Amino acid sequence: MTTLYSDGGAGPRIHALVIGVGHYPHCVAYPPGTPESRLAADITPLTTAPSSALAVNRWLLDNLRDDPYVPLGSVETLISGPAPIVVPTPSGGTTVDPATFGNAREAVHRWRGRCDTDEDNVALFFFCGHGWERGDQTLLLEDLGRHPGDFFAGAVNFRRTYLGMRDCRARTQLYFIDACRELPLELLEIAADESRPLLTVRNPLEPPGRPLDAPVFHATTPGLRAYGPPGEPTPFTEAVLDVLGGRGAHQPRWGSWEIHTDRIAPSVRRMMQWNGVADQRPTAEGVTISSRFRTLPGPPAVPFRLSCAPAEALYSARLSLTALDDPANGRVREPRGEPWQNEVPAGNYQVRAEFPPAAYQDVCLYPAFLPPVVDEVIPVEPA
Amino acid sequence: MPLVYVHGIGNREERRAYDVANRTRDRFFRRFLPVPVVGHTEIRSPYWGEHGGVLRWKHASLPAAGLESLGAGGDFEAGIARLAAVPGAATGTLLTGTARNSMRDAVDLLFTVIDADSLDDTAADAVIAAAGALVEYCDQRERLAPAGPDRYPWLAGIKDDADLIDQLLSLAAAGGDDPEPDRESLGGRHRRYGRLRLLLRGGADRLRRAAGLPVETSIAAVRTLTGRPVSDLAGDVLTYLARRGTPDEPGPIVRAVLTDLREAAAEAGPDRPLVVVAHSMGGNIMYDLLTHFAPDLPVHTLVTVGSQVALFEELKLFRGSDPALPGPDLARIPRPAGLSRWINVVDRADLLGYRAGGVFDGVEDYVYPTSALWAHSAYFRQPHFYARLGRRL
Repeated sequence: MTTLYSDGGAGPRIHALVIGVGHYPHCVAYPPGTPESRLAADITPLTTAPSSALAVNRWLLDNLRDDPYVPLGSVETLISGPAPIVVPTPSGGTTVDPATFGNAREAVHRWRGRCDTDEDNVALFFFCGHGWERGDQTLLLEDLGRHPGDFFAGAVNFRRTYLGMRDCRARTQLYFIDACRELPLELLEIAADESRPLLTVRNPLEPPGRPLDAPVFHATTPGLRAYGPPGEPTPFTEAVLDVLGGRGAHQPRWGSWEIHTDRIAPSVRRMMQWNGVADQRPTAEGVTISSRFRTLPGPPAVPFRLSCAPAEALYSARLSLTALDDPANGRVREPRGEPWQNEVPAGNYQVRAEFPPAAYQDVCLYPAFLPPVVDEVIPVEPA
Repeated sequence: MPLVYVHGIGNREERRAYDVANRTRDRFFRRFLPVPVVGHTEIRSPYWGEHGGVLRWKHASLPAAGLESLGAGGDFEAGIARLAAVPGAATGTLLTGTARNSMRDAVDLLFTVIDADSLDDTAADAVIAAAGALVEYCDQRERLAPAGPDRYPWLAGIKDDADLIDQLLSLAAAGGDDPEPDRESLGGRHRRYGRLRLLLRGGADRLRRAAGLPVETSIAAVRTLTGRPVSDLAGDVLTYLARRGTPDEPGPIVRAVLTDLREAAAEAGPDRPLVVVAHSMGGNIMYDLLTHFAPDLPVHTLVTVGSQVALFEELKLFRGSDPALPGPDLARIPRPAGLSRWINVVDRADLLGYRAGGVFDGVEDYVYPTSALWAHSAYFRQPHFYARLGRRL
């Protein structure tokens, strides 16, 4: 296991465990002629998974260390790539341990121990790599297929691992699973789910006995795939980081922009739509009672796209945005054929569409620009 | 060329399978037959099943009435049950064993065991594309390598049918199994032929599971195959013979087939001659039309497949049959006058298919070289059948 960051300060902390698996060396040469071998043959190397894990680590270190609400307490990470992964740290480069089952079990126990120190701690679990779902979500680690007689030794049963965290004292637990949820045909040819949990489940039928906010955010819907571009973070990871960075914020009280757990899933879904991911719909499950995850230092930036109806009105529309609480700070877009895309701090704005005489009637609106995004069409009438 | 397909016995339009089989067969025709034959015109398939035999007590006279409840597609399941008796079926190596003897037969069997009733247009397109690619692959290997282990060197490493299917599909993908090189899938390789793979694996798995059925169930399933179609055959044949009518007052089956034939003939011309493919009883009907009901109908090529034309002639069941033949002056019956070419396809293993060359003059008997137990019902499921037919047209 590799601890990228540890802050032993007093009070609640966010403790993260980040796993990215892009290297499955034992699947390449798995003995043929069995359902397991056919499963192994489909397990290709992933470059998007290590990239995603690195992006999450970087984001945590850059954004949460000094968070005024609950600062970052620790980052534990395991990443498997074809070569050892080196992460830059203030003290120099740290070589990250690979995501094998043994390392993952050790890392989960350390992470759980840290989370267990304070009930106001936040546990954050992130996984990116290959996965399946046969009733339970399976997360595939580097040593999948290492033992020909025990193919699933490197397969994690996520549901039972999740249940193993129920008696952890941290009341807020966030799980991000960036993996496929398909059910390969070959899994049905294997008698039982052979994946194993990383934690022991105690009293699985007993309710937690206290309010527990432990949503699981999946990159895709059951039975479907998740994707990522080679060498870059997945669209789900990008959307999650955008949402935790501010796109998932709202204002439960004046002057305070906060990220709450119940806003994460719809915001991630909206961000993926906004980014043009049409064939992958993220979902969420698990107990959610809307806990605050963090408080932002100020209003978050809101991406917007403004168009006109009819669209050809854009060719003659001079568009402007003026913050109602800061009239001196306006933005203008001169006439062009495509929609106006940019971002502004969240807030209330005056939106104007002005046209040359005899083209269209001028329009003035006063909408709120709120996260995650604004995508609006200004209706205009002929002059 | 206008193309007309005349179906055999036991086809009933209310069966969804009939419609699906029609569309799949048309796709095979368009993929494998020369463009001048299938062209861009409609492939006509006159439907005469509604005028065939109707069993008023719905097969109550059969000893195995009710056996259709064995599966949604009774005939298909029964066919699977027959195949399941073949060595290797229970262990999931029937296809692999077949491939070691004949890759072409393995490819044909692979596409035969698909549950064709479940094919929608997208799946049917994928089936036809893969079938075409595999036929070309077999052609290429036979050109490049002598028979023996060098022809399919990868076959030695194949352990079971599931591996064989993956290997064949990867060959069918023609060098590009990953349809999305610009993104990685977090659940394993994204197979270009994912859905087709499920279809083929589904067929192979049913074969394997059927081999594990209790003996009584398998026997019952086989009886479904040997019982129901035979009664359909008898019903349709007897009904046709009794009600075919006369040239002046043709019966409903003759009218139905002749209407489409006349329309197709009207589209035909010197450069667009009419081709008719007739299966089983459809061949007998076609012969009766060309020799009695419409001897003026110009048909360039008739392909009879798994038909009993020669048997019917031996029994003198056609309207135009001459009881004096064969005689001292004429040992064999001449090809119908309006017919320029006649190809008769028969599989040695097809109990309902008969050679024609012994009875007729001017017919090319083509013995389809499989020994497949599933022969009679499966000509039109096998890619190599179409490929060979295409070459002869």
